[in-house]
Amino acid sequence: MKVRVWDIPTRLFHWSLVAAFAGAFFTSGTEWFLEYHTVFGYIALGLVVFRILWGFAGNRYARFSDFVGGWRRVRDYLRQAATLKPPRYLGHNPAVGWVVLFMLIMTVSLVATGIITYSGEEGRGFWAGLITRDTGIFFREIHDFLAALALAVIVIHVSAALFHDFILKENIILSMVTGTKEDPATWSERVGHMRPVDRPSSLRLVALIFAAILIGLGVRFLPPQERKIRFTGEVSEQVKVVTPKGYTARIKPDPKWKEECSPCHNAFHPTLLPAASWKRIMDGLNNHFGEDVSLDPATRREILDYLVSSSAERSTTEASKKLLASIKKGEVPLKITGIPYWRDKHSEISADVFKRKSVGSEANCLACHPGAAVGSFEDKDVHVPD
Amino acid sequence: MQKKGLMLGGLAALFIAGGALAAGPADLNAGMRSLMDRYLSEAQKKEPSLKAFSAEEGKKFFNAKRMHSTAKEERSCSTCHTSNPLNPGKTPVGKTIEPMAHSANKDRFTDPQKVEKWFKRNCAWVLERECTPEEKGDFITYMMSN
Repeated sequence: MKVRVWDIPTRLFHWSLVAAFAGAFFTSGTEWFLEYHTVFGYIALGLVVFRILWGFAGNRYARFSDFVGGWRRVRDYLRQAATLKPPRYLGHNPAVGWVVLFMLIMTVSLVATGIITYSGEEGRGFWAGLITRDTGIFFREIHDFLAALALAVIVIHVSAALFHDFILKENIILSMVTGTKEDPATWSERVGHMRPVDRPSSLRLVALIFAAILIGLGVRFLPPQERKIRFTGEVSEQVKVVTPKGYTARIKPDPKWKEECSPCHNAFHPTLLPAASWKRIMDGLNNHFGEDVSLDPATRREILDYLVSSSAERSTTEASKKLLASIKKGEVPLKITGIPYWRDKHSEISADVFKRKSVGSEANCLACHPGAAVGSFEDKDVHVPD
Repeated sequence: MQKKGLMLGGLAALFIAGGALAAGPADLNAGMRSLMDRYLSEAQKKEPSLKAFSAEEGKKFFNAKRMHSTAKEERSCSTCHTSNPLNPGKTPVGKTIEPMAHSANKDRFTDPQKVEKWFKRNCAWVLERECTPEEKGDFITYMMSN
C-alpha cells in the first residue's frame, strides 16, 4: 500500500534547490559565468524563503514541527542507524531534520556572503558601491569556505540517502519524486493518509503566492539579459564614486568633458587614471601627445574638476582598484595603456588585433568593452570584433 | 501707391545686392556671416584688391601638403578629413570624423566659436602657425560650396 507523504511544493522545492545548487556549483570559480552564478544564488534564496514559510504552512510532513527534534533524538537515531536497524519514519528522520535546518541556514549565508562579495569586488548587485572591495574579498573567503562546507554536507546527505536505498532497502530518493512511500506495515507509526492542514491557513496562501512570484522572476531573469539591453544607458549609472564626504554617488558625466575630449579620441573615463595623472594631463594641454589642444581656463577647470572628482582613487570599480594598485609609487602615468595592470591584462592580445580595422588602436577601448564609455569593463562583456 | 512700390523694389534690390556682396555664402547663419565679414575686412587690410573669398583657393589650401618640422611627416587638412569633404575622416588614433562639407553635415560652420577653436588647433597641427583670415575664409567658402 502506498502512502502519500511529500506534498508537491515540498518535492518541487527539493529538486529546484538541487538544480539551483548544481547551477551555482558549475558556474563558480570563473568570472565568465558570474552573472549566471548570481542568478542561481538569488533563486536558491527565494526557494529557501519559500521553504521556511512552508515549514509552518505546509502539509504535515513538510512542517518543522514534524521533523525538528532535540539532540537526544538525533543521537539515538544515529546510534540505531549504526547498527543498521534505525526506526523508520514516514516523514524526515531526526538526523535529516537537522540537515534540512542546516542547509536552509547555510543557503541563506551563502547567498548573503555572495551578494556582499559581488557588490564589493565587482561593484554590482544589491549593494554595489556600498561595500568596499576589501570587504568583498574578505567575504569571498567566507563564501568559499561555506561552499566547501555545503559540498561536504551534500555528500553526507546523498550518502545517507543511498544508505537508505541500498542498505535499508527503503527507496527514499524515489519517494522525493513520487511523493509516496511503501510498505506501511513496517512503519513505526501507522499512517494511511497524508493529512492536509485541517484549517485553511493564510500563511499557506502567502507561501504559495511567494512561490508563484519566485517562478515568475525566474522566468524573467533567466537567462540574463542580452548585452545590448544592458548597455542602453542603464549601465551608465552603474559605476560609482566615493564623494569627499564618504558617500557613494553615481557619476554624472560632464558635458564639457565629452565635448572637448571625445572628438579626437574616445573620452577616457575618469575612473581609469589617478588624480595626479589627470592634473598633469590637464596642465600640459599645450603639448598633449604632440598636439596643442589648449582650452580656455574655465573649460579646463571644469573638466579637471570632473576628472579629479571621479578619478581612480574615488572609483569603486575593480578596474580602477587594480590599475591603481599596479602603478609604482611616485609614478604618474599619462597613458592608461602604459599602466602595468593594463599591459598585463592585455598581454595575450596580439598586436594584429589592435591593428584590425574594427579596433584601430589600443586607445579604442570601446571596440571590445561595450561599457567603456561609462567606465564599465566587466570581463563577461568583452567582445573582440573581427 | 507707385511710390510705395518703388520703395519696396528698391529695398528688395538693396537686399539682394547686400546678399551678393556679403563675404560668405548665403547658407551661413548670422553669426557665421559676421565672422566671415570680419575675415574679409581683416584680409583686405593686407590685400586691398581682394573682393571675395574663393572656393577654388579653399580647395587648394585643403589639399596642400606640408612637411611638419618635428613630426617629420607630410600633413594637410586632407590627411584626416580625406580629400573629399563629403566623406567622413579619421583622427590620428582612428576615431571617425563627421564630414566637413556643410551639405553632408548641417552642424558644420554654424557656431563661430567652434570654428575658431578648430582652426586654431588644426592649423597648428598642419601648418605650425595660425591660419590667415584669407585662408579661413577660402576654406569655409569651399566647405559651403560642395
